[in-house]
Amino acid sequence: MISRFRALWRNLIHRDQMDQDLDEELHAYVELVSAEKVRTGMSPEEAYRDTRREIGGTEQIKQRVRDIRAGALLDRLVQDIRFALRQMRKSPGFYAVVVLVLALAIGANASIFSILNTVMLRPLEFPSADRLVQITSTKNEKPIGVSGPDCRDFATHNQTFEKIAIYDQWRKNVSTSPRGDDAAEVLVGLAPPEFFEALGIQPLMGRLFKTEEGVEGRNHVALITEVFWKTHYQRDRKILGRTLSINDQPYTIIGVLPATIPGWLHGAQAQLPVFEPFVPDPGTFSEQSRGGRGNGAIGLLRPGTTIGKAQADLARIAQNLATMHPVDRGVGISVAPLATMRTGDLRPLLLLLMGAVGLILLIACSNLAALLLARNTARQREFAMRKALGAGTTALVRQVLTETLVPSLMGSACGLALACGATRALRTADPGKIPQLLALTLDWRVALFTLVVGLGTCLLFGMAPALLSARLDPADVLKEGGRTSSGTSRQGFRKLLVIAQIALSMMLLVASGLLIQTLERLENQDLGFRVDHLMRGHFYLPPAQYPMADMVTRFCDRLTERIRALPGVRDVSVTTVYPPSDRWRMMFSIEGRPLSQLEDVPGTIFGVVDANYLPTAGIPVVAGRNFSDSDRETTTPVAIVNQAFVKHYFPDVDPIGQRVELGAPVSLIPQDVWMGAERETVTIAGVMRDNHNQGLALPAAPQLIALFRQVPKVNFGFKDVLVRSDVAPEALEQAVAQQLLALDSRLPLSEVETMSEYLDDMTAVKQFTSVILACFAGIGLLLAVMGIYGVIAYLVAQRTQEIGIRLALGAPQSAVVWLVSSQGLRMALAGVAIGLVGTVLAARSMTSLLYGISALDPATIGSASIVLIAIALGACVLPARRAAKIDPIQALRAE
Amino acid sequence: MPSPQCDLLQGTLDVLILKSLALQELHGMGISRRISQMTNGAFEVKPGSLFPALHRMEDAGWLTSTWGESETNRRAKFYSLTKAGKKQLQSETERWERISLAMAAALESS
Repeated sequence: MISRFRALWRNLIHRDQMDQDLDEELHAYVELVSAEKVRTGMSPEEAYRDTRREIGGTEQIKQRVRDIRAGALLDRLVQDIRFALRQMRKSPGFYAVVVLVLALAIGANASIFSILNTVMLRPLEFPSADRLVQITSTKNEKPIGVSGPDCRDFATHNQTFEKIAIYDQWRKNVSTSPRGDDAAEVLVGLAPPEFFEALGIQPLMGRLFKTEEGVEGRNHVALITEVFWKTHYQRDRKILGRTLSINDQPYTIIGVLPATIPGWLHGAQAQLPVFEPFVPDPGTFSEQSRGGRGNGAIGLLRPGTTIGKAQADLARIAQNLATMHPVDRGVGISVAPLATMRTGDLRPLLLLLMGAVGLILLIACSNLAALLLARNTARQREFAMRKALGAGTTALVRQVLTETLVPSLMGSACGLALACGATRALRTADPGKIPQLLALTLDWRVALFTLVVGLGTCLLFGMAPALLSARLDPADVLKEGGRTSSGTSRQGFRKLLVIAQIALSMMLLVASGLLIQTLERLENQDLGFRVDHLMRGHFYLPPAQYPMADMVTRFCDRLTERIRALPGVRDVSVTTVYPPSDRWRMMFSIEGRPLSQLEDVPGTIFGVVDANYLPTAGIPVVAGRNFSDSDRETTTPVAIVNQAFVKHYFPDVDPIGQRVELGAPVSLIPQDVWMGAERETVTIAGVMRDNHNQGLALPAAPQLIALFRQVPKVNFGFKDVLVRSDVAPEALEQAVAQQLLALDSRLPLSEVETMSEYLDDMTAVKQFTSVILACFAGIGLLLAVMGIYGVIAYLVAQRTQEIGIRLALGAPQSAVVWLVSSQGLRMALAGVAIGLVGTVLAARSMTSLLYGISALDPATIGSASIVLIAIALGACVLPARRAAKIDPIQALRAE
Repeated sequence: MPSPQCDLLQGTLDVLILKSLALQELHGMGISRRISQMTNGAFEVKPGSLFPALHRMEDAGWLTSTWGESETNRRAKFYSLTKAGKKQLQSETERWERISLAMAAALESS
């Protein structure tokens, strides 16, 4: 083996020396044989001639030796590559275009693939990543999270899990000072020991939680993460035992966690900075809280168990639960690989982008194939000559393929560099809006993908030209003298390639057009409230300081008073709801409509507000009256419902004056999640106009709002503040936060942003996708234009004589222009027609990404077709004018 | 005997070359002549087969070569067996003995 390597090395490095030696060796042989013959009596000349004849060609022997030597194959490859490089040096412009086109196409592919890789393919960085699953209950196939009691039953009765851990996250005011000054509202993770055990997380220092710490009163211990340790404690080694204030309660730091718990587990952008024990308090694990789902849960499967088995196992338990507990009826269970949580809702968009970028690659390949065909047509004589001189078909194919391999590999390298830059730009330009992109890096998978794509491209665009040049009949080509043949089949193939490019561009154009319109519709639709001059922020009044509902009310009153006094403020409201997305759902019953079973209890989107909510948000009242300042704690509690609520529950009755009891009827569920044994009843006083409350893409669902001062049972410390301004809303952000601090120095205002920023973030993923898709469509168009131009220009050059004759015989210039343009037009029409078929085929996968527009929107498809045909004709203009200006005499004389 | 080279069994040439070099180092023509001599003229190795085989065997590490002076006072390449070449010769010899015994037995049986 070693000697083979040494031989390989010798043969490759000292190739010239080896050749010389071989030459000398053969010479010696010839001389020795001749000398022998001279000894038998021949004359030296005769002997030499005789020997040469006997041996045959020394060149053939040398070639056979070369072929047999180690590394002969590699040697030939090196030769071919040298030849290819020589070719490239001869026409640098042509090959620069080839490499550039490839670099763009491959770079785009590598970039999108690296996103796909980061978000979907790369394994999770946990020790037992392949056994980790997400567990969630489902209602009507939609995930709704798990409840404490259900999760406990799953953990005790299952046969397929090593561990099941329930966890949660709450926004809390965290301060590093024991007194709670300068607190910041952060998302705090609540997790039992099993959570860290399942993920296989070891603390950097200190220890993890113990089971007995999951009890009210013993739970004042905290784990901080490495980043928090670094930013807030400068990596102080004596951190253990120090006190952290969470919601004004002292917590002892017992350990530091590594930065390996991704934020997406908690629906957050980055890893949560602080964890405290999950306390399965009486509220969470008692029977009446079975219906209060919304916690997260992860599980570690036993080795060898499949997801399917685990799903069946839990489904069996869920079925048993449903027979025992009415609230669990109709609730299913879903077990999915943990990695699907990381992908989130990006999956369809990423697949769309990957498809689009694949189309770009195809366009680029067909473009390059056409370019190469044109070029090889010009080189027909060269190929014919080689063939006539004895080059085999395989040798020719190999050579042409190598000529494409070299630029392919160069293009791949440039593409990888481009992807590197693109991913870095993506990471820094848009931090956080698409959290998964924060982890965007290139790894070996991306490099491998790029290499495979590069080689694949080489085969795709090199194969056709290679085979066509190998099929040449040397006699034919050489007979034709100085002229290059037009080769109709070859032209036909080039036209086919251009048609394919137009078709693919058409699909890209339609897709990006549809997505841009979707975005436009999402952003510019009437959301039912006034978006401009509105800002929002969130704060939390911890129950330790504000245990009573009336304390919360009083605080909010004083806060709005202070903010209203600020210059530039028109209106202000403290609320728990604001469009376009509200998550608080409340069961209710309407007075006079008795309910006999739990499944029949309706639910509504719910929220508590102050009297200024509707004018501040800019939501008009369409019937009855608005809340007023005279609605006090002592007067009748009132509520306002939206039009969807009226349509759904009072289609034929006047809703004004109807009485609604909040929470499930006591007869069905004695203990409500929010209100315990008691209930609040409100009287509908008015109807507000529908505004989006389920996100941008869904219609308004029934909604009911009440005044928090009038329903103390659901007046919690979580509040948002909305400010309607006369000035730019950004200008008020600081002043509003200061008013909060002035009332309580430990209360931070978080999530401060203008309503437009908030809405903008909601469409970030779609914006991202449509921008990229539009870029792709642009690249596709550009390539298609180049393709059409190339073919038409070539056609004109070929038919110069014919056109000259036509002009000489009196054809008007316009006829010549039409003759040329009609070629382009025909290709464009064919391409558009095929692209239309492709669009129809792809329509179904597009539909889920669109809003307010059909995947087969005629206007979009129509304008895309017109754009493509116009561009195709545009590409014909130059060659057509050149054709029309042909001087007949010149053209004919050139013959 | 009409061109016996055509009938050379695969691997025969290798053994013959190895054998020819068992006693002394030789240049290309020397090997060719020695083989002819060893086989009583039954095998005439033509340079078209000889040189590729020599280079292949050198690459395989069985042979090593040095430049020396030929009878005609010309620089010539002399081949000799390496340790691996000697081992190869031994194992090939044993293999051929087994084959020829088996062939003889097969042809004698009736």
